[in-house]
Amino acid sequence: MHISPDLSVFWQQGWIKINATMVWTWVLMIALVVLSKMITRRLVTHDHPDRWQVGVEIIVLGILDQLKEIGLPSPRKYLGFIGSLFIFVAFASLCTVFPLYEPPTSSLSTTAALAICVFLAVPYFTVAKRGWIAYLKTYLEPTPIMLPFNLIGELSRTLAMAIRLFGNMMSGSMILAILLAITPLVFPIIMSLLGLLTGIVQAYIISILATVFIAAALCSASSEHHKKSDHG
Amino acid sequence: MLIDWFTVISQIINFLILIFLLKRFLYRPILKAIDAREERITNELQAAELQKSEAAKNEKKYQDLLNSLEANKTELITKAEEEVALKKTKWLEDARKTYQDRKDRLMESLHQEEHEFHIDLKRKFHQEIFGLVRKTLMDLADESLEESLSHIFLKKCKSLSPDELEKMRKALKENTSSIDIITTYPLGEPLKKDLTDFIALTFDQAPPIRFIHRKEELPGIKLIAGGYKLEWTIAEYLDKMQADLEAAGTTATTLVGEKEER
Repeated sequence: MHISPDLSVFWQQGWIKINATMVWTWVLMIALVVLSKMITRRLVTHDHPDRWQVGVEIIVLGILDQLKEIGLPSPRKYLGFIGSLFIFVAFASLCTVFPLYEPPTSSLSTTAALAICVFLAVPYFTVAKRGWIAYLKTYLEPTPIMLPFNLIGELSRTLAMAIRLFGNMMSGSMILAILLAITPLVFPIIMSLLGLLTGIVQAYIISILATVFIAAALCSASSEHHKKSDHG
Repeated sequence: MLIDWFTVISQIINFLILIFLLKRFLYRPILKAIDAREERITNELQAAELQKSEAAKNEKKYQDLLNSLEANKTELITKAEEEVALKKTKWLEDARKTYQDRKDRLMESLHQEEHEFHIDLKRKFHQEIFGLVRKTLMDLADESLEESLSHIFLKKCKSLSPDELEKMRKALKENTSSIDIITTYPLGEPLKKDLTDFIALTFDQAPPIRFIHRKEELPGIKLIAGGYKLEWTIAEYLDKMQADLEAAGTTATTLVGEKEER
C-alpha cells in the first residue's frame, strides 16, 4: 500500500518518468473527453433533450450559477478553468468505486499542481481584466507594510489548498484500504459511500476557493481602479 | 518527499490540456445548445407576448363593440318595433282599403245588376199584364185595347183645359222642331189622321208630327211637344198594384216572423 500513487512508477528515464498518478490522470482525461464527445454528439435545441444532455446542462449551468453568485460578473470566461477543476476532482473521486483505481488527486503532486494552477490563475485573470499595475497594487493594500504578509498569505493559501485536497483524498483511500484489511465486507461499502460524498465536497470546496480567490483579486483590483479614477 | 516536481509539472500540463479539451468538447457545444434554446424560447416568448398583446387588443375591440351593441340594443329594438308597427298599420290599412274597394265595386255591380233585373222584370211584367188585359178585352168585349186607348187619348187631348193648351203652345214656341207621338204599338191610319187634325186645329203653324213606335216603352201613348209631355199609360195602375203587392209581402213576412217567434 502506497501513500501516494506517485510511488508506483511504470517507466523511468533519468528524471523523466511515468507513474500511476500520470497514467490515471490520462485515463480520466480520455474518459472525460470520450464521455463529453458522446453526450455532445447528439445535442438538440428543442424542448425534449435526452437525459444525458439534461444532466450535463444541469452541471454546466450549476457551475455558472455558482460563479455568478460568488461574484464573478461574466462567469463564462472562468467556466473553462473552474469547471474543469470541479469536474476533474469530482470525477477522480467518483471513480474510486472502481476496484484497483487510485485517484490521482490522492497524490500531493497532483493537488500541488492544481493549487499552483489556481495560484497562477489568480494573477492571469486579474491582469487580463484590470492590467498589471492594478494587480500588483493589490499586494500593497491596505498599506505597503502589508506586502510581505500578502505574499505569505498568497503562498500559504496555495499550500493549504494543496494539502487540504491531498489529505482528504488520500485519507479516503487509506481508510478504505485499512478497513478492507481489518473489518468485514459491509462496513467498507459505507465508508466508500462516505468517501464519494467527501470527494464531491472536496471538488466543490477547491473550485469554490479558486473562484473566491479570483473574485477577491478582481474585486480588490477593481476597487483600486475605481479609487484611481475617482482621484483622477 | 511526497511531492515529485516532474509529476507536478506534468500534472499542470495535463490539467491545462484537460481544460482545452473540455472547452472544446463539452462547454462550447453545451453552451451553444443552451444559447440556441434560450434564443428560441425568447423568440417564442416574444411572439407569444406579441400575440397576447394582439389578443388583448382584439379583446378590447370586441368588448367595446359588445358594449356599444349592448348600449344600443334597447334603442335598436324600439326602433325595429316602431318600424314593424308602422308597416303593420300600413299593410292593414292597404288591405282594408283594397277590401273596401273590391267590396264597393262588387256592391255597385250587384246594385247595377239588381236595378237592371228590376227594370227588365218590370218591363216584362208590364208587357204580360198589357197582353193579358188586351186578350181579356178582346175575348170578353171584342174590342182592341190599343184602339180604345188611342180613342181615349184623343178624347183627353180634345178636352184639355185652356191652361194646359196654353202651356203646350208656350213649349212649342220655345223650342221644338216637331211634335212626337210615341206608342208601344203601331197606330192605325184613321187615328193618325184624327191626331194630326186635332193638332192642326189647336195650334197655328204647328210643326210636323212624327209617329214613333217603341216596343220598350210602357204600354200606352205619349205626346211630346218640346218641354211639354202628355201621356196616357198603364204605368200608374201598375205602380199602384206593385205597391199593394209589396205591402202585402211585407205583412206576410212580419206575420211569419211573429209566428216563428211564438
